Amino acid sequence: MKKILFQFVVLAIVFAAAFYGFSKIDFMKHLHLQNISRKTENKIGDLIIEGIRKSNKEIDDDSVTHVLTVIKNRICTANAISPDDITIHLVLSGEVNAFAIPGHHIIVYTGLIEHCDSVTELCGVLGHEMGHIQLSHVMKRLVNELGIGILAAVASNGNSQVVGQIIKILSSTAFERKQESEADAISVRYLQQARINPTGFANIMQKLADMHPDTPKEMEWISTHPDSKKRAETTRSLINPDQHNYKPVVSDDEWETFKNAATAK
Amino acid sequence: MNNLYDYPANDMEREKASNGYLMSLLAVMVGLPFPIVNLLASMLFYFSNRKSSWFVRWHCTQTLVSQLTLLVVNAVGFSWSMAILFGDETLSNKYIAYMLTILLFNLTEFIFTISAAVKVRKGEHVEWWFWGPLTNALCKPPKETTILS
Repeated sequence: MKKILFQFVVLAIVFAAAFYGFSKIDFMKHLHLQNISRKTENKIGDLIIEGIRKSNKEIDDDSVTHVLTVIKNRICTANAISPDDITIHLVLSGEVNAFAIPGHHIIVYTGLIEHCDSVTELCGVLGHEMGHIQLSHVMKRLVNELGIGILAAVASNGNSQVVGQIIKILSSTAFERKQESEADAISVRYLQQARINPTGFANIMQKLADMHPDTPKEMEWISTHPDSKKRAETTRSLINPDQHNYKPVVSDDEWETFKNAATAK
Repeated sequence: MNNLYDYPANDMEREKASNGYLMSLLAVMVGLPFPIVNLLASMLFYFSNRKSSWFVRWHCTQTLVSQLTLLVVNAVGFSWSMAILFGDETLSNKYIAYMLTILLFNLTEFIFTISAAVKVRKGEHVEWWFWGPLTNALCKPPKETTILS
């Protein structure tokens, strides 16, 4: 019996040593795996932006989008994310919607801005979408729905029909419940780290949940984020009650100016 | 006689015992992505030969226990791959390192299995590191054989 145990331990050590030795090699770098996937993702992201721009106008006036940049920088800096890694696009549309797309882009429709009563509500939504990006939910979902082959083909030949299908998937269908919960939790964490009051995030979900029975078609962020009421409660439970060192993101005047400018376009 | 190294296996026993190893090889080729196939094939062969001679049973048992061990490490690799393809896991250095490690172990087992199949077919007894002593503990010689020695 001792012999068996001894030989088993030796075998386990050999296995562990081989695994340890191999894990010291940076395969992702040497095989350019990260680069390939990120390159493909960026290409798909660019095609989607192009597709959205064909049907909707993007607001790229810095004086309007300045508030979005301030929010992004504040959240990213506090959470060790490079602000240059994420691009937020403000798109003119009546839809109450925001969604992450490949290539670390976030699309925010002006309809959502109109429904936000405070800047912290918008911060919560953006934190949630950043969460989807950081947890690689977007690409995982596209791989699940379309497969790696189709995505690689789209990246190389830019099939506009498939790009349209991708936009539809990302803007009007929900992530898995688990992924939504993860993005909610990460949003609360990001906001607290950035000293932004996360109550606004719970509030917007509650507000959208209250609207739910008569949800018009353009309320996409509600239909793609089901169980908003329950999630608002869960979000509230995740907020650290002892944290009070929240700081304003922008002044009330700046917020109102931004909201008016974005929704007047 | 309680030592298989001195066991005078007849031609039929040699063939059956050797086939036990070949069975696991065939299963490896057919069911490489699904680790359970290898085990099922070895189990099937083991149960169909459990009333055979000690020599045949011993070698079928060695094949079975080695497949059982491989099943555990391969199942982890299989689940990890599924989690990357359909779940939340992402391709990482650790995953590639693990897959290479199990590939190395499967390859070693593959080579040892071919060697054992050839040797056993010639009537030689082969005991592997760890699985040999384990098989000795599991597959005892029949009483009448012990009395004869």
